[in-house]
Amino acid sequence: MSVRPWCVPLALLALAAPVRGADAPPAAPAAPRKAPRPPPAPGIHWERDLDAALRRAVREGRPVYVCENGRIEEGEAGTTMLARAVYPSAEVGDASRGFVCLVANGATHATKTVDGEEVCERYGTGTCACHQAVVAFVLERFSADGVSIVSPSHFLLDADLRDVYAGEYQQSVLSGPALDGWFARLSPRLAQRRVWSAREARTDALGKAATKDLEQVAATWIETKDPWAVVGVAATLDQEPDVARRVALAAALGRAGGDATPFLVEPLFDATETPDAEPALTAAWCAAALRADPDVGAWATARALLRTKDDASARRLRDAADALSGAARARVLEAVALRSKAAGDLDAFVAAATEASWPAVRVERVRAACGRRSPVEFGGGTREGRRRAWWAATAEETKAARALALEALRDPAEDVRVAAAIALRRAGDPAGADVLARALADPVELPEVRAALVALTGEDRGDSAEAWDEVLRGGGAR
Amino acid sequence: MSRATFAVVAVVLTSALLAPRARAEDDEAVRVREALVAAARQGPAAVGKVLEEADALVGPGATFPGRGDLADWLGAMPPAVAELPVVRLRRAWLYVTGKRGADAMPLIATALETEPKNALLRSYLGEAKRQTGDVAGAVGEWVRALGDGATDEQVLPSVRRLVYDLHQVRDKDATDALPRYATAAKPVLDLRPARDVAEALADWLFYDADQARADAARSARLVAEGLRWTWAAVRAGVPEPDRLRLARKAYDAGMRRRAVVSPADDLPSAYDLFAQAVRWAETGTEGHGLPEALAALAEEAFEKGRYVLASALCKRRLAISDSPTARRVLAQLPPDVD
Ligand SMILES: [Zn+2]
Repeated sequence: MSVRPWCVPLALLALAAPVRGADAPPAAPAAPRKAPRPPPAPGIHWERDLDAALRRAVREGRPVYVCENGRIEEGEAGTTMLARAVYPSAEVGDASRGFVCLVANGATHATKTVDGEEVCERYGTGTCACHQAVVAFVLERFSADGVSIVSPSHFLLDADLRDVYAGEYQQSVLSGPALDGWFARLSPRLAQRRVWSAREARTDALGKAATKDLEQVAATWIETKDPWAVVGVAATLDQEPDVARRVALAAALGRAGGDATPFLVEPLFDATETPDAEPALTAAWCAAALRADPDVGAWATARALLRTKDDASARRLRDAADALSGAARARVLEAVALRSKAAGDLDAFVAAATEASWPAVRVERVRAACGRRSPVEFGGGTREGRRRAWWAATAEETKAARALALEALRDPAEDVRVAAAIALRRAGDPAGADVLARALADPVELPEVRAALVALTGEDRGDSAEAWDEVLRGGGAR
Repeated sequence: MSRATFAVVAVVLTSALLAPRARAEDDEAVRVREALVAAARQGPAAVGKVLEEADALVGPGATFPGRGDLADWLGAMPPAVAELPVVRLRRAWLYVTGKRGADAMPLIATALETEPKNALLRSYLGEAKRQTGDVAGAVGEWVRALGDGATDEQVLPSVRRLVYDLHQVRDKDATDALPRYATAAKPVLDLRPARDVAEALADWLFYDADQARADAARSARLVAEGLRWTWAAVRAGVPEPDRLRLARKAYDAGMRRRAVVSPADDLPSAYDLFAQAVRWAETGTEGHGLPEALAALAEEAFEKGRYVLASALCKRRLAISDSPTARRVLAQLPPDVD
């Protein structure tokens, strides 16, 4: 069985989540070796080191909550109220637990020791050095003039450290439910792990609901606008082995609108990879996705449509396009054209793609796959143009084309050299073998070279140049 | 410094200033003088050896407080010694390293008349000119020295000092042009790239750009130049210990590059900067030193129509942790891309 590496974290999460009906016997209580640790302080736990905090956010997929609180030293009312009453509250503290939290304040305060750790006395957790470093970070990231910022302000970054929320003054502070909503949207995997404790009664009720009532029970929860509802339904679905129950839960997710999108993409990618494994579930997933988010639904529908071996399923999936418009419609028709390679389907796709202002390169690759490459203005002077021109020219397999591709092997841009080497190899010419060998050792060029070699030989020899050497030198092609 | 220590230092300094330049020769200086006169009769090699010993005369508590003073003293030797090329060259070096470039210049100029292609002398002349504040003259000599085969060690230390000093006084530069620290040494650095200088220039330019955000045109000019120097620092051959740091700089520059409106043709693209970030933060495992760079490069690859690459990057990013960016790109890929 091949497990795609990007599926591993979800599998790990599943292991970490409690499994209903399989309660392990309680472990015998061990005699405590030292005094039990005091319960963690309520309220937001501020970080101790800015750089380490940001690295952890990316590595663990956590959002970052940044609270500018610099004017507390002046006794400014809003800043003071936030620091004394809001940040230390149990509600905000609990909701912030999955976030990496940073407070910005340029002052140095007294310190105290909590649980063996020296902390800033003003904020109760974290260090003065960290909240001072956050000031520079906030100014660099969010200041309009580079030197000043409204205090108080609040910011959110996602796990790629992109800005997703910025607000000024006291009213920009995020409440517990607002933090819960952001957490579900930005870190759906971690949210799925937390939901079992955050909404124990609700998830229990879902687990116990009869299959015929399951969609309605889940949908009723979603209708309450509880930010944990969509998380709970998705987490239950992820754990659920029974297909009929999975279909019901997927249908409920479809009723959640855009809130469901973060929970749909990865399961849809898997379900549509092998659409015929559970056709009913695939159909339910696609229908739910189309209802929740037409663009994502169309993407999933197109993937399933292209991969199913069952023509009747393909026709049913194709019918979805009739209710769609814009990019979503173009997506489904792209798969129809790639599947049938018929002139009429290609024309329908090109019309939809043109209407949706799709880039020429995406349209052109479908034309080429349908054997109807059109003369394209590649813009030979630009790097992208050169890159594509070698592909196009060598496909003609003329002497002149080969000369152009050989010249391109000396292009200053690595990606142009690699494109030329791939094109030459496809034409049976090993002149670019060394370029390809280097590309196989390069994390950026590797994926496309490997995909091209797999397409050429019909087998995947992995990502080492040695394994592909025979193919690079001209052998091994189908 | 305590008041008492200051008093002692002041006394020492005052006595040093009041003493004659070539202070009454002590026993050691007399010995060196006699050895030089004797060596001058044997030839340049013998003189060179004594000149090296003469270095011991310089230092706190020694005969001469500075190298320039030793050079003065050598210049006052009998002509049989003072006019020897090896002595003149030594004096030039002593003046340059003693930060008295103006005194070194005539000595070097004379030597270059007989050896115009001597790259080492030419690099001394560049340093001497730098010390006199002749920035353009210094850079011109270094360019010529490199053309004549000067090594990095003969030129780059001076270039670093020039750039650093110009950065210290950048407040005096005109605000409607690039600061001199970023432009003055460019002809030399184009010939002999120095990653550390390029990296420092990029850091300084981005910092100054952030401070100048209120002046959009100036800030944009500084950012563009910062991007060029970032590219010079990250484009090739980064040694192992510097890789992750430079990967992060390439990534940050890529994010700045995205915000550039109507970029000049010679700016590195966001794709190129993110690609270098991915390369230099490569760990050789399924993880990655800079996962956010995988997501950013996936976006650029998608925009270019490089869907296979975009897909591979999205999957790698999502294998590490949640990434809204990677998830969004993945859900836009063409249906035939696995
Ligand atoms: Zn503090």
